[in-house]
Parts: sequence; C-alpha cells; structure tokens
Amino acid sequence: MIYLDHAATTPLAPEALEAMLPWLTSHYGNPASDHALGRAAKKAVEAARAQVAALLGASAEEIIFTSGATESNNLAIKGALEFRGLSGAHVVTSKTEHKCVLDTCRYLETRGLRVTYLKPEADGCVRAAQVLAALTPQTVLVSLMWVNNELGSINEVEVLAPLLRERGVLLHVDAVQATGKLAIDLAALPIDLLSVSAHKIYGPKGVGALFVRKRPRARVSPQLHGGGHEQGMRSGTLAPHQIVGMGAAFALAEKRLAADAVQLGSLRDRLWARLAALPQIHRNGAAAVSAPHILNVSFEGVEGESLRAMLPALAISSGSACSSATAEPSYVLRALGRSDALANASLRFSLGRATTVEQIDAAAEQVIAAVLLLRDISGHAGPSAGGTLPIENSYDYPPSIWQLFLAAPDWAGPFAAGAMDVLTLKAENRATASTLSLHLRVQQGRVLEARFSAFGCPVGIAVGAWLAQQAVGLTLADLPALNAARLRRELEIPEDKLHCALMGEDALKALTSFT
Amino acid sequence: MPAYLDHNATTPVDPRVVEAMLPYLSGPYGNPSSLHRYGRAARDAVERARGQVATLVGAQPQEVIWTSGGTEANNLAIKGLCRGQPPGRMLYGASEHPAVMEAAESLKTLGWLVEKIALDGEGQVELGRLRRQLAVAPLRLVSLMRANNETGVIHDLAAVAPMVHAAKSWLHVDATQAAGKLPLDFYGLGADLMTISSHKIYGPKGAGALLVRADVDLGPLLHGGAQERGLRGGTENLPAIVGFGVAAELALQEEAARSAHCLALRQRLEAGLAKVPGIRIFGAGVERLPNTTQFSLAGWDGEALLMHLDRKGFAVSSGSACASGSGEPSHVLLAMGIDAVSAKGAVRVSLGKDNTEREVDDFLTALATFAT
Repeated sequence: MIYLDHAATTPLAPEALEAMLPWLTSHYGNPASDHALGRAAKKAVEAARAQVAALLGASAEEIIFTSGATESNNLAIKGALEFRGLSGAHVVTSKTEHKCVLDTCRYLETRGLRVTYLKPEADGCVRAAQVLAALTPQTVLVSLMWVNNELGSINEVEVLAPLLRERGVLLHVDAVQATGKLAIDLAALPIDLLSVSAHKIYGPKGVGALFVRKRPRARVSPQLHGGGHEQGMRSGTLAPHQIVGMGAAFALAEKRLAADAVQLGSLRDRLWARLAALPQIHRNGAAAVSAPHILNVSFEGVEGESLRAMLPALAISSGSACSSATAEPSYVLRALGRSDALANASLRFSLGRATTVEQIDAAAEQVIAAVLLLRDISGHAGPSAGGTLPIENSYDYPPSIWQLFLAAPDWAGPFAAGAMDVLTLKAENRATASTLSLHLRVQQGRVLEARFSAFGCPVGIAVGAWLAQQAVGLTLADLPALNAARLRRELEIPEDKLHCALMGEDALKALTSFT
Repeated sequence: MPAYLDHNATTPVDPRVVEAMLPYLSGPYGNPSSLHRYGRAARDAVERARGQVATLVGAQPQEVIWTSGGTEANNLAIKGLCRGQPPGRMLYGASEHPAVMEAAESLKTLGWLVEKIALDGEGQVELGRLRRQLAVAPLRLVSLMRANNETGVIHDLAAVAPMVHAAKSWLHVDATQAAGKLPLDFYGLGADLMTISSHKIYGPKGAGALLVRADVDLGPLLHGGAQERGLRGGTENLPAIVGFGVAAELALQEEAARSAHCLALRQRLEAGLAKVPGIRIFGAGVERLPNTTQFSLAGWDGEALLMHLDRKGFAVSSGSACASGSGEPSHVLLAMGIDAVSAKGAVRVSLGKDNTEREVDDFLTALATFAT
C-alpha cells in the first residue's frame, strides 16, 4: 500500500509518540489539579505551548489549545463575530475554504451574518485584490485559508494581512495545510487569528490550536463554556499526552521545515512529470503558487469510482477526506470551473516525509495503467493499455460484479472498423453521466459475437460485460429477457446501483428501434 | 507512602487501554473519513468503540456522538438542543459542573430564562420546589447530573425524570462521574441526552460522548464535515476513541468489583475520619458514589490543607479540578446551604480501583497530624 494521503492525516512521528507515552502512563494528572501530578502535567502543557508558538513565530500565551482545526476554525469565526455582534456584520471568505469554515459561515448566515464567498482565480489562488474589492464598511472579518487542502494552491495571505490591518479588518487564516510546509512568522505578519492542527504534521489526532493575537488583541467569545480553561476561551480538561505530542511534532517541523519542503517539492514534480505522459489530463492549480506536498489531477475519459476501484494499492483521496464520504464531486474543483464529470475523475496526491522515489514511480505507473484501461473500456480515443492490472476488490463490490469488472477488458471496445453485420445499441444515465453501448454482430437474427463500451462505475461496466457475454448465441427476440430484474438478480446489484441495471435494460430496449 | 486520591479529577489510563491504543498511535494511520483501506480500517475501529461505549450505558451505537470530552458533550447537549428553538425556559441543578452551568447561562443572551434547581442540605433536589418550577411553560430542557463530582451525592432521577417528562421537557443527565462507578442505564434513567467522559473511567483524556435519543432534534456545535451524522464536525480522535471504547468495556465488566473495592476503602476512610476531631462529611446522610468523600476539618482552609497533604505526597482536591486555585468556596457546598467558611475548608478524597487500605491508613495518619 502506498500512502499518498498526507493532507488527510499523517502518521505520528516516532519523536511525538515517544514524548506522549509518559503522559499516557505514569504522568496521568489533570493539568488543572493543584497537586504534584497536576502541576507536572501543567508544566508539560506549557512547554508544548511554547513549541507550538515557536513554529508560528508567536508567543506562548497567544496559543489556545482545541480538539483540532475544525474546533479552531469554529472558535475563530463564531467567537470573533459573537464578540463583535453578528447582526448586519459582513464577512469575506472563499468558495474553496475547508468545509468547516463554509458550514460555520452558512450557519452564521441563518443568524443574520452577510457573507461574500470569493471564487479563486484559474490557478486556484485567491488574490489580495479580490478580497479588498469585496470589503464593505460592515466587513469585520476575512477568513481565508493559507494553502488549499485539495489543490495545494497558496492564497495571497501574506500580501493581504498588512492591507487588512491598515483597514481595521480582522483576518483569520486556516493554516492547517501551510503549517510545516511554508515558513510562518506571526511576529512579522499581522494575522489576528490562525488555526493549526497536529495530525496533519505528524502529531496526534484530537488536538489543534488557535492563535489569538495579544497585541492588538483579537478577542473571541468562547464556544465551549465551563471551567474557564485556556484563558476562558476554551473550557475542558486538557489532554497532556495529545498536547505534548503536538508540541514535539511542531518542534520537529521547525527543525525540518526547509528540508521537508525541498524533498516534497521534488517528489511532487517527479509525479507530475510521470503522469504528464498521459494525454488529456489537467493539473488543478498551478505549480508556481502551490505548497510542495499536494498534486491534484483530473483525467478525461474515465469515471471517478472506477478509477479508485482500479487503484486499490494507492491510499489517495478523490477530494477532501471530509467530503469524500459523501461521494459528491469536489466543490473546490467545481469552483475552478471543472465539470462534475471531470471533478469526479480527479485524484489528490499528497506526499509526506516517508514518501520515496520508488513509491512515486509505482504510483504513476498504476495510475497510467488504470486510466488507459478504463479509456479502452469506454471506447475513448487515444493510446491503448498494455494488458490488465492485477487488482483486488478493495471496495467490497459483490464478487459477481467484481469478476465481471476484471473480465471487462476482454469484452470491451467496438469491433474493428469495417466489421460486417454490426448492430450498436446505446443507453445512458444522465444523472450519473454513465453511458453503455452494446456492439452485436448479428446474422439471421442471431448474435454471433458481442462486445461493449461503458463509461461509468464498476457496476455499470460489469453490466456491459455481462450483457456481452450472455448475448452471444441468443436470437434478437431472446435479448429482452436480459432485463433489469434479471441483471439485478444475477449480478447481485446493490440498491444504490439499480440505475446501472436499468441502463442495461435501456440498451436492449434500443433494439426495438432497429427491428 | 504517597497516594493518588483524586480520581474524580482524572484517572490513570488502564494499561490494557494503553495497549489497545498503541497500534492506532504507532501503526495504521488513516482519517476515518477517507475511502481507502487505511481510512476504512480507522472507521471500523471508531464504530467498534461506539458499540462498546453504547453497551456500557445500555444504549444503541447510533445514539453515541463522539466529542472531545465531557465539557464539549455538556455544551453540545444544552446549546445544541436550545439554540435551534425559540427561547424558552431551561433548568439546571445548583450543583452542576461548570460546563453545564456556564453553557446554560450563555443561553440568557439569546433570550432564554435559565433557572437553578434548588438543593437541600444533603445536596439532593427539593422535589416540591422542582415541581413548581416545572409547572411554568414553556419549559424545554432540564439538566441534572447523575452524581456530583465533589460530594458524590446521587440524584433521585427515578423521581425527577417522570416529572420532567410530564412537563413536556427534555432531560439531560451529566453522568460523567457516575459512569464506571454506578450501573448506568440510558433508558432506565429516563434520560434523553447523557454525557460521559473517557478520562474518568481509566480511559485517555481527549474523548467523551453525548448519548442522544433519536427523537431529540439536536443541532451541531462544531460545524463542518459530515462526521457524527453532521452533529459534530472534525476528524475523529481515533486513538482516544479506541481507548475510550476499551475503557468502557472494562468498566462494564469490572464495575461491581471496583465499586465494592472503593466502598470498602471509603468506609475505612470515613470510620477513620470519625475519630478525627473537627471533621464534617458533606452529604453523609444520603446515597453517594462509592468512591467519594468530601469533608472539612475545623480550623483549616481547604487550599492550605491541600498544600500540606500534597507535600506529603497525597493528591486530593478541594473540589472540582476545574476550579482549583480560584480560591472561591465550592458552589456545590454553597448550594447545600453550607456556610462559606466551612465550604472553603472542603477537601475531596476520590478513590480508585487501584488504591489500597494502606494508602487510606497513611492518609488518615497524615491528616491526624493537622487536626488539633
């Protein structure tokens, strides 16, 4: 398994794990307790706070620990606006922010906030001039991510920060993907609020922080009320093992910042150079304005789910991990103007410290083979695949479907040009942008040979392969018996894929228009 | 011999829990929302733990919402339920944890009427007064803890829950301290929402859960992502959740033995305290958690006594860890009508499954040296 999903989460650094272990075993005090064990825990928390601050060029008392970046972003935006008054206030953000920023803004809109969502430029970046043009006298806050989590594109945060300071507008930056990849110096850069996460830079899950500037003071109203921890801004028992792990990860990142960036950038460029051998692919975001660890590519002529199914040995993402569960095409790619189909057929590769040249080359080879094979199956013009992929059923399709998906290349593609007596039956499903064509060589009303072309998910492809196999030897009059009900039964098609069975039936129905 | 006698503040992590967590710290890593194999393995682990935590309280897995701890769970219960509704009335017990009190008080800025439920001298709800409070509409939520973190006093939810429901209100129960110490039945208690925390039951810090019945219409506190059915955004804290699950399973298996052990130690402690002149035990006349004793020693300020005991290696508390060092008298004791001087003298001993008779005896010996 090649793990190229570091923008979703990273492995814990051994240094961080080692630092954490005592705080999971012998040093178990509650940092709020006023006894020896409690004070030891508090001391460790404060040391970690200093380590986190150091990577950011902040001072320790400006760091508020949270349960992660989602909470940090919620606290920054809701906290800043609740402190200043929501009603009639205006916020500028972008369409390509992390889902938690967008969801928070949408929630606040129901409470009277007005929000402008900026569309990034073609290279994926939001420019300072765009933000300035969107400001109104009521604008109290700009929330803009430093590095986009899907594209790696770098927004013009550094240009923007001093301009907003001059205008007295608060700036919140989601720096989750920038941390440890780009140099961040909050002593020099007038950002007011900045969110960071531990588990994206080799620290543990379950912990993050919000930088809240002291001078000039950026005030936020607490979102978790209680015992008044974290200067009253975030209540709840602190988890020293997680905080200590975060501190160690940040200290390590500070040490490795320059070397990591060079290594990641060179591997990322190598991956792109390899993939670029494929025609009809698009890089999302521009290399010149991109963080070193992310590469996002769209592939024409393939369908996203089938592409993922053909890449079981690659741990990659087809969008932000937080929205990949919903299988909606990425809203970030749609904001860049990609069609739903192309957004769906996109892969985000995110590299990490342990990524090797060999992994990059192997990943590129697997992706190229999968794309060519799927293009063959869909009848897409261009270079052809050399053979089949040894792949495993890693997404748990029913075995009947998986066997047909594997066998599909043997039955796929139209007959050679000039073949005689060929009948082609076509169907499509607009909702899923899937298509199916059955190619039948028919003599005296009987099918001699059959092939198919399909663009769609593995189930749609399996339907095509099964129909081609079954059609051989049947008379045209027999064909309608291969209907959706039969397909569903024979292939064990799950409920949410019944449209694939119907598309198969639709293709056979097209027969009546010929006969 | 020094002793840790502050288990209501936090418990050590059970070594079996640490062992279960380690693979998720050092080994397979994945974001449970990712579709690839690592992501799905992470999701399976999260769901296994959800089942373990649900089983501890006799609930269904889908009723468990993960949070970062008890404070977040209490905030989610109160704000998540109330913010989506037109302002109404909300009641909370006068001895609730600050996370409940402050979350409830924050509703006032949204136009809510928020009132405390009065307690008697033993820390229990005055049912007659509660009945009158419940009679005034529109009541939307009552929050009452299962057992108090300072005194250990257990509320009579069997009496309270039907009254609350008859008043057409939801009931939230903060069971943070009760979990692992008392048998806990989500449905049997009559709770609609219930808070539990990992680090009070020998699990890691950084994980908690809110139990929510399906018919409760809750809104999220942390927006973003589709995690936890949209009720709690954020990447799941995988190792802590796995640890919480195992801690819950162990708590269920060992609850009776742990409670019997702690109760025997507490009886030994209180028998010893009875011989120390000037000792007063709070809530002594009512049912309490088997592990908790809160008392004052005449002529002593609790903070000062704590410091002396700490110097001798005994970790105890003056009350809630969250309020440690504030110098304020315990709001729990004030709510019981205890005078401020006695309240400021309070010391809480909270025992754990690994404490010994010897530790209790040593503690009593040390304490006796301070008594005049």
